[in-house]
Amino acid sequence: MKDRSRIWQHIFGKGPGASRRRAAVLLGQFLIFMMICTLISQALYTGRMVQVTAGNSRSMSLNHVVEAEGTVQKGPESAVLVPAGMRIAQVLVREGQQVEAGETLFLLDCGDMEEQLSEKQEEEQRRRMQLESARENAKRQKEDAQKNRERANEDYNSAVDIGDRQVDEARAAWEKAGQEREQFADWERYLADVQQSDPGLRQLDEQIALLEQELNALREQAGKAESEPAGTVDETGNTGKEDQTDDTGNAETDGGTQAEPAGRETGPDPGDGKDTTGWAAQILAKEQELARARAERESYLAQLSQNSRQQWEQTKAQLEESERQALRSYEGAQEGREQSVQAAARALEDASAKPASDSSLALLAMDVEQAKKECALLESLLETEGRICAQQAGQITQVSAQIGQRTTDAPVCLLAAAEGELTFQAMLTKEQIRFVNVGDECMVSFDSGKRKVEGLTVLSLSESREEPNRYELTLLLPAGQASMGQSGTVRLVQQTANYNTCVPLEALRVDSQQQTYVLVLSSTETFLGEQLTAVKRPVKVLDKNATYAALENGAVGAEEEIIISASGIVYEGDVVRMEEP
Amino acid sequence: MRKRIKQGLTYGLLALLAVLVCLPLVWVLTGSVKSSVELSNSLAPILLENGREVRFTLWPCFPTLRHFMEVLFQSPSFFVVFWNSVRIAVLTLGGQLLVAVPAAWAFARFPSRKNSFLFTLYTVLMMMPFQVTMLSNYLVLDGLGLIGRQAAVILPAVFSTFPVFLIYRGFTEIPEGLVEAARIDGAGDWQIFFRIGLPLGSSGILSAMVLSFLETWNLIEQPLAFLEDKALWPLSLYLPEVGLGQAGTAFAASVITLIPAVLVFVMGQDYLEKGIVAAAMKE
Repeated sequence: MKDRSRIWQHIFGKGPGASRRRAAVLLGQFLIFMMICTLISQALYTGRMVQVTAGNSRSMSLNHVVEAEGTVQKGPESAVLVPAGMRIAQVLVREGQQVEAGETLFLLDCGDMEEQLSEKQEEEQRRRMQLESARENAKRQKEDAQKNRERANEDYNSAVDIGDRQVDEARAAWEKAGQEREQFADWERYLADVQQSDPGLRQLDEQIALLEQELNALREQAGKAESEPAGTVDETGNTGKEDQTDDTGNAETDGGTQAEPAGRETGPDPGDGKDTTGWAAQILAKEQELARARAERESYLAQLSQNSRQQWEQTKAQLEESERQALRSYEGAQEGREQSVQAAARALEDASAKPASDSSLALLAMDVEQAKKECALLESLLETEGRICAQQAGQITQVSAQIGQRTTDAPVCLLAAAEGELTFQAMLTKEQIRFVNVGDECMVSFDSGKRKVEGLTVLSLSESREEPNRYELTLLLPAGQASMGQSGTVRLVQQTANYNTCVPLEALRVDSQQQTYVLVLSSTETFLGEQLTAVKRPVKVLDKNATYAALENGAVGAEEEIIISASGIVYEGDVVRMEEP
Repeated sequence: MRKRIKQGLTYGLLALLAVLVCLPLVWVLTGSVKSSVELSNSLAPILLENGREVRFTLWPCFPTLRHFMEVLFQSPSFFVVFWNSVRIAVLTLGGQLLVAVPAAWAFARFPSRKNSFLFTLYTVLMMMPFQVTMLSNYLVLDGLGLIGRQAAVILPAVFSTFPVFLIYRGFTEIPEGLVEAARIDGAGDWQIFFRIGLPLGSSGILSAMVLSFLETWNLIEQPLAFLEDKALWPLSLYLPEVGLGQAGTAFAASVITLIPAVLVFVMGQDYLEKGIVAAAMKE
């Protein structure tokens, strides 16, 4: 007690350093108080902090399990069909009646069937005759067509040959006319030929030649006479005069001009060599005569040339016209060939064209077969005396035939099998039907799951007429697995494709704007160190089942941790901590 | 009469100055017990910037301790930064006791040209603001691998020059004759230091400690520059993180922040006065 009062006095009493001591004590108490508050604050904070479990998204496929209650129904119904057009004589069964296999269900009118049979047989005969006739006609048509084709081919070949020949001939004539024209086109040559063949000109040339000879002879004699004494005679004994008298003759020229014979002009007797003046005069006379003859020739030549020119031009024109005509004939021959060949080719083409398709033969054959089948059917029905029997034992579920009525394509009655396969029917919701398809494998369990029938397949899916937005699932149960009316549960598992981002269904949340989101853990630096905060991440759900949901790719990274469950409500930005194991 | 009027005017002027100085503290104290609605109405012009004046009443209309409850029991982050500040302050003061005191004794009792030069250097460094040496400090601390750790704040403070200057002043007051007498009696240098120097220079040491505590408690620039992790920040950086929407919490946190500083000041007030007087007196 004394110590405490001393301490109290020491701390809170008056005296030197009392305030210092009090301040120190207060500081100590303050620090202790802060320590306590630290613990309390941390405890409250930790206690208030929501604990969460987190996990990463996974890549997986989703299994959609569809389960539905149902009952075993009657087996599949089979239709009892009768050929259309038969008259029902008797109906021996009623709805709900159990029948055995082979039991007579209906009796058809045999008399009516016999009448129908005879009609069918006649029709068959008729059709058969029509078919044979059509075949004969077709054969004949085919032969005629072949013949026409051959003829057209021959005509074509003939047209080609004739045409070619005509064209060749015309071309040869044209070429020939052309050659003749070309040959005749040379005026110089023509004139030379005319001159060469003209007798008048020839006569004049001869005359001139003679005169030249005579002149030469005179000159020689004159020369001799000057150098020799008079009366010199050559070795032959002839004088030049005699030579002169041998070359005269009559010349006839064209054009009416008669070339006067040059005649013989005798001069003085050259025998007298001493008379040189006479020689010169003879020579001069001869030269003058020669000149005259030459001039005459020239004149004759000019006239001849003029006359020949006219004729040449006329002849040339004629030849050119001939050539043109030959050319026209050639072109005409070509054109004629083309036309005749084209006509023949068209005729050949027409003759070779395939005939239009005609299915009348096939149709007639089919009619014949059909009639035959109908007859066979009627005969078979008559053999059984018109009895329509059940193919299998079962229950008549529907009778649509009436006495006296003619049968149609619809079944006369429906028969449900008594034994063998039964059907199991269950009702599915709109959400469940998305995952069920015809042919899917399923399982049915009976007796509260104690007995299971596996390996079944969905037979049909149809919208229920009684319950809107519900669907009937039907599947076949093997024989002996269940009895009619028994309840069971059908179970199907549909596996989807692989999804990259799947999260547990509990991780999905919906905000006030109906936007689906998840909360992702994010490390943030705070005064309390690294803490986990919840970050809102909007996502789009592609698919989901009872446990997992598949999200759109890219919504959440594979390494990011998603808050799956929490001990309290977690909002965006809240600091959370992992749940204690 | 005149003397009384003069005295009255003097006291009045001093009171006015005191009120002006104390007014922010009064606002903090009253704001910490005002309700959130009252604070929002008063401080809305700051947030909305609509040109209206801030009207802050001194007396709360609806006093409440809810802000203190929030700070003390619902803000664990406040305690994290509080203990960070305590750690920084205690380690810094401890380091300064180990480093600055012997350094000041050496400067005071072993004068030489070399020591004078060093002391002058110390004085120059003391006058340099943090912004001037911040980059060089950063490079050195980064080279030592201390960036991002509290040692980056503590170690430079431990080797601060200001405490050396203050303690030096206290040691120079010790009479030389006393030291000589102790030396004649056979005391060694360490004995003289521990038996004579420390007791007689305690006023300077304690004043240096008080000022260092106040400086360390209010550190802003060094933690902001060298500490990236908020979990290592001191209390002085926590308050700016509190938004204007949590003005009541900010006021309450400010009051709590103030308490240790006030208590330490009260504890060391006498020594502080003595230290300041000793520095002002001439031998």
